[in-house]
Amino acid sequence: MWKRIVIAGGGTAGWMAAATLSKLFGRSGYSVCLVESPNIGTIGVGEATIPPLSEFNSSLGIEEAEFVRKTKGTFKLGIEFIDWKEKNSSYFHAFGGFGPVSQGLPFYKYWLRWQKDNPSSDIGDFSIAAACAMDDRFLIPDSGMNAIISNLKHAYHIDAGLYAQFLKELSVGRGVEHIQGEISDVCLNGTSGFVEALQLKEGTRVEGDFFIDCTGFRSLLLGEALKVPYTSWDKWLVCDRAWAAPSPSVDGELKPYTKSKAHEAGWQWRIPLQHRVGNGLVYSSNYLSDEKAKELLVSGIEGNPLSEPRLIKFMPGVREKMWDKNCLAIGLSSGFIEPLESTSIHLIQLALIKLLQLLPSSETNCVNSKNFNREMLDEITHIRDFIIAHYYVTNREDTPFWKYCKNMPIPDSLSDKLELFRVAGNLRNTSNDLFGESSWVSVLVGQGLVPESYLPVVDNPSTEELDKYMQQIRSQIDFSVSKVPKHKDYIKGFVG
Amino acid sequence: MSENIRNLTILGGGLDGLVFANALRRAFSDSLSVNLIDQPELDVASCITLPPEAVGFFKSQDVPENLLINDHGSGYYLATEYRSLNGVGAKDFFLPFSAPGFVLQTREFHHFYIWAKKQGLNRSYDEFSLNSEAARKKKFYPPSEKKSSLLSTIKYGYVLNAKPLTDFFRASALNAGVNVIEGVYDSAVVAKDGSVESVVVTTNGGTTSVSGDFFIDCSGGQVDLFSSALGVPYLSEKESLPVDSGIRLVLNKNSEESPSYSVEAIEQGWLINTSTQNLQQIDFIYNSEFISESSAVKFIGEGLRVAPETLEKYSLAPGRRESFWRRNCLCVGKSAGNLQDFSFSNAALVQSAILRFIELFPKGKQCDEVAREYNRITDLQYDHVLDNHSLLYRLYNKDTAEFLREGGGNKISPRVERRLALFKSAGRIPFFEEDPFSQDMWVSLLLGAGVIPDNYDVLLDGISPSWIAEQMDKMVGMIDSASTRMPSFNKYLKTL
Repeated sequence: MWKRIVIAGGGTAGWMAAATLSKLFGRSGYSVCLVESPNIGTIGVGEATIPPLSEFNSSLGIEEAEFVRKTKGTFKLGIEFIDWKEKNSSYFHAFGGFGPVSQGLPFYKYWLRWQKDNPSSDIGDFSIAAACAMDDRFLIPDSGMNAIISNLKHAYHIDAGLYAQFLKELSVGRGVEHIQGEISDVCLNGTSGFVEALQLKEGTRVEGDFFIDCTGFRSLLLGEALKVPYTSWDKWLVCDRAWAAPSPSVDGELKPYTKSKAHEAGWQWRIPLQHRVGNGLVYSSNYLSDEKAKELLVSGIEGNPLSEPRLIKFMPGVREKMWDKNCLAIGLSSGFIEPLESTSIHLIQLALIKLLQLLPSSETNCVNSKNFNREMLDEITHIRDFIIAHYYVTNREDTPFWKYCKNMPIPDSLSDKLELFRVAGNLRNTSNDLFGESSWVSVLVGQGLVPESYLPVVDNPSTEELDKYMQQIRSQIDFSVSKVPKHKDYIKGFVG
Repeated sequence: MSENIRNLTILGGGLDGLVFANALRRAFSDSLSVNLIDQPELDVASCITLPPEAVGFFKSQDVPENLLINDHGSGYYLATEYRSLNGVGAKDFFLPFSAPGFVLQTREFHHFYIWAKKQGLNRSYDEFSLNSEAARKKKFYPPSEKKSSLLSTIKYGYVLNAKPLTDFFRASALNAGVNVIEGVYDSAVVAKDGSVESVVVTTNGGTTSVSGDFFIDCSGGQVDLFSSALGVPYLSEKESLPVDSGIRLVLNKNSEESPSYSVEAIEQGWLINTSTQNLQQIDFIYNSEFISESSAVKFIGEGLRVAPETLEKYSLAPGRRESFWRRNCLCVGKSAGNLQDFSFSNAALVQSAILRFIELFPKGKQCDEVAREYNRITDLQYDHVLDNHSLLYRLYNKDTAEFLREGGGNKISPRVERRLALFKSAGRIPFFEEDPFSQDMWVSLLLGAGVIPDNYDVLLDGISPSWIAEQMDKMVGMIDSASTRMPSFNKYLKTL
């Protein structure tokens, strides 16, 4: 049996892995150690998350209030996309859906029909999350609340460095061995090519049965030692750099959402935490110089940055296999899409859940790794397509960057999906797509793709009935929003 | 955009076409006129099995359950019984519609069963399923609304009496304004662009031409629209499902025995036993390359002690259409494919097709995007049903089955191989899109057939073995007493 698991790297991915695997303790002699270099900084991007993180935390026995307190976190109801469809436009991609399901059909199908007679209608008007977000309101619904409010789904904005720190304490407390040292060499078995040990600069040799590569973009084990090739997606995702800098909290109200504002060659994020605001400017180095991008970031921040902006270089894509031989790469070492929909932490979590289900031995490693690679690639491909859609579906052609994006060739999986939606108002729904129908509708419609027709199956209610129905939902949302407290007040009460 | 579909013609031949015609009128009322060429039915089955999804389907069509059960004499069924799948004398097992056991400490139940098997547990997987135990004891009780009740876990499908149901849908079609034409399809007139303009039908009064915007072949395979008029081939799957003939016996039922559905593996093929409240239907499915029709008739006639004249002979063509929606034509039912009525019946595929077609029903006469989506989903469903049924042949002990032994066994797809490999190595079923079977059903089938994985969920090792054993005993006790207390189906009917 494979009992000794070695995690290489101590960033967000490494400590999330350590915390997850600490569940194995007390079970047939597993041991877990994490090797971390005190000299290597972590990227620590990924301050915005998506809703499944709360499940991950609760599976580790972490209380939500403690988590929000320790990470200086805030709540997130979705993302506001500014200037993406065209200049001076905005839409909201909310977690949780729109209005109710009726006759077995999701709300958006009725809206697509209604929209034909009401072309200026915004589907975001039918989202309780969007309504709360725009008024800086937030709460976690409990079972006694009305059906509209129960639709609120939340994620978090967190300080990823503090989250890693929190998980480190938890993991070490639960028995994960923490080894400080810089990895100088990855030792492979001469015949099998499997990883045998990590050689540390100080001379220590850390042996193990199974290795988890959390070394970030360097991908020391999977990329460098095992030489698993990288598949680049740069023809679809052209942004390859980001400047990041924190700034002081200035707004009187705390926004319960992430802002993403498009600029001439990429976009800028704004993530409000309790104690500061995270900012970053994502751009394509083909279309914007580093200097210019840095200026753009600083000019787009409210107040002065709290520290000198930091440059992060990346290449969107994935390793051909995330699990090869006895080594699994998790986090940036396995690939990176781009931060637009805050999926980095989620992909770490997903890989860890799958790893726990498929924990290998020398006999099962081959079958389990094949299945893991296939399922993860499926998931990542869906996410990739969703992100590409943000760039491709747009009316913007005002700069060379946007001209390229609007006219670039896209993957078949995405073009089929977009065509079906454009022509028939129907969304190909795949059950393992992280982003469900309502997310796709929010973004596609928000980016300016309104279907040419709707489904005849929603022809049944009369125009008057449909008008009344839409009106009803609107007023229920208006009524419910007023019952929701301000985000700032809610957090104060929540963390105590 | 081209003009909308206003006029649709169904090439019927029994229940499928009638159900389809009704569903279309219900969904689109007077915006769609529907012609139905009501041809004499081929290979009339008296009893039709349908999975739990059918309950929702009939509800959506306003067909009350008491009409099916009380008036038509149809029955419920809770699980498919598999007899002698592991060879003569092997234990029979049930494939239940609901997941056996309870989740313990957030881990899926079947891992506990695998764990217990490794400790020498001498119980069948059935004993942990209320559905299976009730089916074994020939009991029935509808699911309780109370979530906390064990009875809420019950899930049932139907065994329907085809004759009264067909009559009901015929009357209902006439009532709904479907234009029913008694006649037989002769040929199709194909336009230059490859779409069908009209069909020529032979009626009592001579021949008549029926034109339409759209055509649906529900003829049960008796019409040659797709092969000759549209050039869409029928792909044989005989290598995966090595049978080609059937013999059917239908008897009036005298016994008080509950309606049931069983599939028995015998040396010469399969015996499928289906019964409603008042009818019993026995189908013998075989491969004519190994037994001639005359010896098959003799074998069954003698085995069932009936005169050969009472036996109906029919041919089977295991396979599926290369594409199900081409131009302005759709095929469903046996014209679309026949993968045998094993764990998933052809009738269930028809219901799913009807709902999908109505949801995707296009604006505009031709809509390639919509057709592509319909074909994509349908193709995946046929893949998975074929996989499931070919797995049954594979699980069947080859040494006792002449027709499998001589053919060198049946072919299974790489998907089935992956399912088997991952189940063996990790006790898990890989995810596949559009799989009509739940993961629980795959697990029940494999565990029921005696495939015990090498490994189970690693997190079970930290749970006290005596606690697990205690929980499992408790479950068996609860399920046994609940199923014992349930009334027999006939008794249950009397209480209504």
